[in-house]
Amino acid sequence: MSLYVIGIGGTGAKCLEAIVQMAAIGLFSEQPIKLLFVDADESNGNLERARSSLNKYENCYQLMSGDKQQYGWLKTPIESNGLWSPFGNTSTNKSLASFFNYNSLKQNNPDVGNLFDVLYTEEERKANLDVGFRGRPAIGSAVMSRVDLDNLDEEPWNAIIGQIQQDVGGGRSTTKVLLCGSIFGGTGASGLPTISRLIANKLNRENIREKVKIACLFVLPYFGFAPTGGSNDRVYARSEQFLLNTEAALRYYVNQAKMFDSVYLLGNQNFSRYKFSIGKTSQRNETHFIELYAALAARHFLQNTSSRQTQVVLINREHKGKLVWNDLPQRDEVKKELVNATRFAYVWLSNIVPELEYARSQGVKKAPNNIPWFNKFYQRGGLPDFNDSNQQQAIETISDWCKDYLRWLYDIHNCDGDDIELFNYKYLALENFDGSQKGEELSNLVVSDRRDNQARGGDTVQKIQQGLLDINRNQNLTSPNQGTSGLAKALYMLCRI
Amino acid sequence: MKTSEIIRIILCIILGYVLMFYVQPLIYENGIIQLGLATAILKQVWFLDYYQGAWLVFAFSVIATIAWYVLAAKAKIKGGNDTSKWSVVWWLFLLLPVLSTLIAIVLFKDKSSFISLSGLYILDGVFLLYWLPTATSSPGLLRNIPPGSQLLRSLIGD
Repeated sequence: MSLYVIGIGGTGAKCLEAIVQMAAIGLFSEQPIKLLFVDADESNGNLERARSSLNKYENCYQLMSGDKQQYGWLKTPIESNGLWSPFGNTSTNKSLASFFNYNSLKQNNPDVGNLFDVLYTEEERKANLDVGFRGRPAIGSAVMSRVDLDNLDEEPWNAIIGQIQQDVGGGRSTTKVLLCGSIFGGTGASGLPTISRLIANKLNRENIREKVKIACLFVLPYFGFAPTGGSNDRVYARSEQFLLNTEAALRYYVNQAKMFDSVYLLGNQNFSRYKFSIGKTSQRNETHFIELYAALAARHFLQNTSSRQTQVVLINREHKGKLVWNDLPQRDEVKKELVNATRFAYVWLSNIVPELEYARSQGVKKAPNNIPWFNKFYQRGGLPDFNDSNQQQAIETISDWCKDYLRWLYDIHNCDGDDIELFNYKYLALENFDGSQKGEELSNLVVSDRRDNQARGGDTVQKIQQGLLDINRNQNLTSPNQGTSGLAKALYMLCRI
Repeated sequence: MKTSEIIRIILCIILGYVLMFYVQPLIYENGIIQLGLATAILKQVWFLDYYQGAWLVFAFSVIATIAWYVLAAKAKIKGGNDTSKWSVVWWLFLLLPVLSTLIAIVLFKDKSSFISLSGLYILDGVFLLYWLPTATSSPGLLRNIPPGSQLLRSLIGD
């Protein structure tokens, strides 16, 4: 079964980022996930961050090739179809007027030109859309409605439809397509209905619609901001209009959401305050816990085999303004993997990396005297050379993933307006990993840890390091079981509680 | 603490005991190492001193080994820096068998057997009762602290 996920706009990109993080910790299957980013603002900060996370995932995934069954980390192959922008073929002026040839429209077809004037103010017509659709669904809808999937001569749609046809033709079980984005902003709100309709129509024409499940994930308003003064640009997203936009969009979907087999709606009563940005790199909103739910919704869609048309699944929180483990769907499974990955990233950055740096300073001959697990993975009896550039690069690659994952998790806990009580997030802040900590807080990472005092007292990095000495013998570590990737795999397994 | 480590320590102590109190006296008694003393004097005086010294070396060496093992098993270690500090502790414990050997030699009345006795006491106390059990059986992250322990443990497949 393949899952195609299309993230539309900044919120869509953030949802994809969350899916990448959750796939990394083993919450998805070993079936491939194929991602596509859709955004008119190609340098959007949210998009950049999501693509950077994906890049780190891919690097780490390649490094950790081998038997994934034994440990679960990075088991999902994620393929990226890159970024598609509705302005892909427009290299010059990216304004609504230019896109619709407004001047010639006024001359040759004055009625339509006048209608255009009624629908869009002069500022909206002239606004440069290389920053996205400026939180205006009306602008986005106009641009998106010009997308033509019929010809299929435009990448990456051509490739995606081809892949879906291949998946369906190959007799694989149901192929699934999930589109996610905000319902209240510009790109997501306008792109999601248009693109999903185009895909559904295309699959209908190819007679494969019945074999493909299409779902959408709408993120309802969950943040707000106050515009900063000083700019003459008056066409921008206004958070006070988000609820109004949402209300109108939901009315539309009551009748128009027929192409979806499943619909996910996510929202939060407490709006987080974000820094105002019109777009581009400065639009880099902090990660929000709602994105964790977005990833879990994608997981639900992938795992759900129910064919019932009218199934309604609800999930909410026990307490407004607070998120605890009990609030997560499939709590036990999700908690197990989140805790495992977080412990791994924490121990890797706070303890193993400083140990490897110490080994480098001591030299490979002397290092095993003080780091006895060192020659279980390096140097001895044909094991990889620690000083080899590939091994050093692998340490960097794994550290990059750990930092990115912990940054994402930290931001979720730090989100404005809600108390997130999953992990003691102050221990996950990246500034802690400067070598001053050696993993002392390992047993205190999880909030509401139900282990008894004895179990928590014995949960130390020392015990994990001792486990590294014997893991090959005790657990018959399959490939990768040597060098940096073997060390990371062993550590990941030992961090499981 | 691993059972295999404790068994190895016990085996080393038994081996040391047998050597010190049964095998080595036989070596002197049978004249393999010549002392130039009459048999009667050898039996009445010399062996009395020998056993006194042997007990001293044996006791101090075993105490050093057990103390090292217990402290090492309870040590709180977060990384290589902590481990390296424990190497000082190992060398300090080594002073116990060394000093006990010196005391045993100094207290020995027959100075003609100085060289052979020093050699045997050092072999027993320092190598057999302290170095060998700690090198083959130091626990956890301190397993490689005794010199030569890496080679020794790889030879015994540990």
